Amino acid sequence: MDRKKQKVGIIEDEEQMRMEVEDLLKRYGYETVSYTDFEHICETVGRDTPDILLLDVNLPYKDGYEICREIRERYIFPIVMLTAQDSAMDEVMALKCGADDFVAKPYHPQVLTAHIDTIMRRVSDQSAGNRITHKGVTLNTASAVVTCQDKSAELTRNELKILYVLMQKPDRIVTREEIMGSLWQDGQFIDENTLNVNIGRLRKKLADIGAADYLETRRGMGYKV
Amino acid sequence: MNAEKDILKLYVSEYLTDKVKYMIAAGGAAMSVSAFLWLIGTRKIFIVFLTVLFFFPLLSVFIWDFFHRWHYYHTLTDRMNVLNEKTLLHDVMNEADFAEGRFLQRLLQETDLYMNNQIADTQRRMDEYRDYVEVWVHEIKMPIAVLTLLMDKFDEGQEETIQVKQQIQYEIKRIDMLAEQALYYARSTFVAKDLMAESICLKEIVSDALKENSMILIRARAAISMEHLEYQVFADRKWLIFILGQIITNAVKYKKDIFSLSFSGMSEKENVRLEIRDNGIGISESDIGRIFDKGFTGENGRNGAKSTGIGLYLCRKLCEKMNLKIEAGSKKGEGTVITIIFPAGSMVRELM
Repeated sequence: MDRKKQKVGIIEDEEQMRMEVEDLLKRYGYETVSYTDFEHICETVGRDTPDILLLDVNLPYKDGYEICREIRERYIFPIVMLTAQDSAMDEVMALKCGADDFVAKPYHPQVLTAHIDTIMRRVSDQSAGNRITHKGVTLNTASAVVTCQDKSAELTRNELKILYVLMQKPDRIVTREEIMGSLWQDGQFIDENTLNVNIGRLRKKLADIGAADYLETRRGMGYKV
Repeated sequence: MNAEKDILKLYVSEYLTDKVKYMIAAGGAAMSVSAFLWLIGTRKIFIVFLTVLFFFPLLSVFIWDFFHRWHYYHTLTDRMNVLNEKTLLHDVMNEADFAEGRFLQRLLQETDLYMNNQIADTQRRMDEYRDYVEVWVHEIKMPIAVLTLLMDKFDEGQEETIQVKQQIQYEIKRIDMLAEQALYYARSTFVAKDLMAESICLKEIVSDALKENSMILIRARAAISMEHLEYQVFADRKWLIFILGQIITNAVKYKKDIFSLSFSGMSEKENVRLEIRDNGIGISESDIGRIFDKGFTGENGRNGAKSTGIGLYLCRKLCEKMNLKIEAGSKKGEGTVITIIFPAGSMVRELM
């Protein structure tokens, strides 16, 4: 997915936390901007108009929920609230004051980015390229088609996810556990055998489009593209 | 009721034992006086008359005294049996009009006061400790979150670090789960203000629980199967996910080499049942009745890992609060089945 020019605004008072979230988002391809002037947060954010806003609940000066309400009154960009707990109460509060979504601590990185992705997809134009390219192979996540030069192949849901996860970390080894973890988060609770079958099929399709050695195995470690 | 009768029977015999002294003394005095009168030649009829005159009021007083006290103690034991908070007896006990009764009352007042203070004190300390645990869990979520993010940043440029990174992520997840369990334990001791019951699809909630515990299940090489879960049930979403998490953790802990875990639903009469079945080492017959007890740790499986023993206890407690039932069945060496039963009520049956 082409995440360039997606600006994520971050409102979080714990510095360590904020830096980590900034870092995480940057690595996943987002542009980030942090707001630290908690007293005049609404005006600052309004002038900046990020594409999406991450708002922590526990803030000095004003309550996170109140800030959310204020921002929501004037601006329409999506807000994801970062809550300390996972209770139903937090969920209700977050949604009631106008947030589009909420994520509870601890932030599993994939969960946080999945939430952001979902919201962005809802907001932005989908038909535009959700493409990743690496070493001559292009993957279109919207259409689930993988292309190499002129040849292309359609991928199943699982194959798409596997290739997507690998292409997110180009030239780096991705463990089997990580790949399976991704599929599980997608609701596909596969086991090792199923993974092997899927990898085999994916390899075959890649070979068919001329990218036979694209998906490398690292014995005892995982895979990489 | 029987205990009450025993107490009163005991009183009768004790009372009589007490009064025996008086009777003996009175008897002795009467005999001496009678003997003396007889010696000085008083007519036998007068001696008998005097003896009766002497004993009659004495016996009457004893009899009156006995019934008077009997009535008091009977009323007292009645009130005590009806009372729930036994340490408030001094407040509800009947007034006595004899010295011992009044003495008892004053004494009881003092001891009750002391006990009630102790109880209030202990309760307060429990509340303070529970509040501390809540704050502690809240605090520890911060370093857990930072660690999680840091580990994601950790680039496995070197192949040697991949295993280490994975192990660290796994352990961080375990810390998180233990903190969660501590929170639920702390909250389990009082009335849940946190309970928010709603209509939930079983399939969805099982999926959520599987995703939440994906790390330990994948590492344990679990083969998952889900079937017949298109039922709607009424429960608290977060609690149910927590319960399933505890069951999953146990299944992983007591698995054999090949690990399969299945979730299936069925409806029977007025209930919907969710069965979670594993093919682990199972639970022995002697243990199966106790697995939901607080602090039960049983055999510790292969790795001998220490267990808090409150995972399943919390499951049962939370189920009770949601009006659900939880049961376990097992065959040693073959596997275990945990069943959660959702009773009918505001419940929509199978949607298919």
